[in-house]
Amino acid sequence: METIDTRVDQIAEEIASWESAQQESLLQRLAELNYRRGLKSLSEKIQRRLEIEGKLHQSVEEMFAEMARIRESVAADDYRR
Amino acid sequence: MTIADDWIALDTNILIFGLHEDPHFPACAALLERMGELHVYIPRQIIRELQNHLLPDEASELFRLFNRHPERIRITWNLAAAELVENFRQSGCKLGDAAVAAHLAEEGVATLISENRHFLSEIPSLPFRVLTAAAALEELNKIRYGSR
Repeated sequence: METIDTRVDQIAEEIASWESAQQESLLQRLAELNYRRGLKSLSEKIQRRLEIEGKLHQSVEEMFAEMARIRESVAADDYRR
Repeated sequence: MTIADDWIALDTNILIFGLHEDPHFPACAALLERMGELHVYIPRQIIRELQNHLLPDEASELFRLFNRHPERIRITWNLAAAELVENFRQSGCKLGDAAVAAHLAEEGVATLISENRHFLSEIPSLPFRVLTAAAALEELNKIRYGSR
């Protein structure tokens, strides 16, 4: 029966026969897919947390106001010591 | 000067609206997905703002994702020069906006993507341009796919 390790070996063997530019392209594509999946997962996690906190449906105005408040607070901490 | 080649910065609102998949700003999530096609500079001011908006584990996860593109996403913890921050502040902007502007000016960043339409509009000769996420995506698509 084929195990994951055997399958990985087969795929690696095949990829090793590719041109280096093709290998590079595959690695970039893989990194991109992993990034997008990770981003989607993080985004869903944040939205679940906001839902629990009752903040998921904050108005745009409220969000901009919160962002402006945090911006000033961070800058004051860094530049008004 | 194109968005695909030059270093750009994403304002905190782009990152937050993108992570929330906010329906009012769908281009923010789309742009976040395409970070690997851009060269993005993330200065201290934006990092610290994100840390305030997110829980510690969420922020760590986000930066781990950014680190998947180390050649395209540059994160720095340096403070901006206080004199430069003060110069922008004296030109009429708030301290926080002045800090962001100073970071970008110091690093020679060509474009800031922001949904704040009034960002630094009081400054007559900003050393960078300000685009919305939708305008940035349109520019990126023109470069990648022609006029489509």
